[in-house]
Amino acid sequence: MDAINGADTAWVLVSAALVMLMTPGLGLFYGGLVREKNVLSTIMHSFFMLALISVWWALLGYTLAFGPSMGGIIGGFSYFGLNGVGAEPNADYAASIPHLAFMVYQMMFAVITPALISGAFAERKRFKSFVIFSLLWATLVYAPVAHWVWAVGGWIRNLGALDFAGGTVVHITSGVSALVCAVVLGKRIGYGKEAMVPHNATMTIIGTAMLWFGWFGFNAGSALGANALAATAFVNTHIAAAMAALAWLTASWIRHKQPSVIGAAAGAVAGLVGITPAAGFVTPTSALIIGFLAGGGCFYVTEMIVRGRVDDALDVFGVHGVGGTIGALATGIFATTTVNAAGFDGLLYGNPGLLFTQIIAVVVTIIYAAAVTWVLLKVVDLLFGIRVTPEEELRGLDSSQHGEIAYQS
Amino acid sequence: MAILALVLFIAMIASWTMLPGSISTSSLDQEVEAGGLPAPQQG
Repeated sequence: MDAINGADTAWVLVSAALVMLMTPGLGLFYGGLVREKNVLSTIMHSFFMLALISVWWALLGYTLAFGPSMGGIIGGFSYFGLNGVGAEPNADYAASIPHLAFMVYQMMFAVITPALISGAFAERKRFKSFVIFSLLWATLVYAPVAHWVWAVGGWIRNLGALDFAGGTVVHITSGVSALVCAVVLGKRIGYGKEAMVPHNATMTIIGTAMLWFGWFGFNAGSALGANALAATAFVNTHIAAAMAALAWLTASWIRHKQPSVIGAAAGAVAGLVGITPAAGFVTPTSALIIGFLAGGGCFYVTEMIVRGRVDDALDVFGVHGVGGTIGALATGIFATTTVNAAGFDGLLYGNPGLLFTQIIAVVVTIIYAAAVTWVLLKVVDLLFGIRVTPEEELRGLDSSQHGEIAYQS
Repeated sequence: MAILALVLFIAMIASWTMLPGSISTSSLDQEVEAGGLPAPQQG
């Protein structure tokens, strides 16, 4: 039996708690951006995932993602219902912490990923359809891609692709799926004709702060130990977010002639997304460059390409899909084994092959996530109807879906 | 890489000094009344 290290275990458990906090933080981030009549339903899309996906993960998700590989495609059923997942470490993933600690840490990643998608269909999706879609999506998109990229024997991992904390597994899958959701559901009533301004920017900033705070667990926790690699990932995470906030704010200021508060928040999140796959493979100065690229690149795609054409209500594709892609490709450029001997050198360090591998991982993930999401949406729509009625949409989802309202006048 | 990051940092801050720093309340009101705010405006 491998020896359990107390410091490593404490750090991973604290990191799991930090990542857990990100999901209600995401709810506040999204909740502030929607109109007053939809704030509760938007928060619910994130908050409810804590319950739904946690139970799913314990019963089925973990074994599909991290069970013994079946051909590099999906995990077997050895860990069904957490059978065999106990106090002893699983040396394949984290030899110095209890297997249960690794499992619960990964659970929090599974929880937040479908919650991220919810920003694309805010203000118009039927709640029960959202629940069914999220369960199917977690089973057929999240778990397989997590297995491909992170599990021992996963075929993308075997190719040599790097994803330190989920740029591909979490952000590309959710961002691309969000774009598909926005296209399939169609635009909100009045989109492009009436102002749909964020109803509470303060709530969004609080949510951003919770996300930023929780992201230290997301990235530095992915070192799976209290060690130097965690410190590197921690620093990279923070300064990339800071640089991206500056970059988005600058671009926003130039375009809109004002230094937008929400723009600074969106930029920080873009930077956090961008550094996620690279956090444990690059130097801090490379993290600054990645943050700049993520902030500027996500702003450009969101403002110049997506907005106005597709009603990705809360810019999920522009921030998570684009930011995750920039981060994954940047990992292929900036990665160095001087930071993490378990990784590989990237293009700047004489290994163009890693960038090629990263491109393969990104392209395959985009195609797979988009295709499966499209099929799932069509199936759920056929069975339950995926969009609320126009009357329900105009009344607001808080009232029509949940029978509650956020603010008493 | 550090030099590049420093250049980008200084360039961004320098650009802010040349950008407008405020907008009058009256012109914002006019924009809202005219339905002229792009939707959704998130940054």
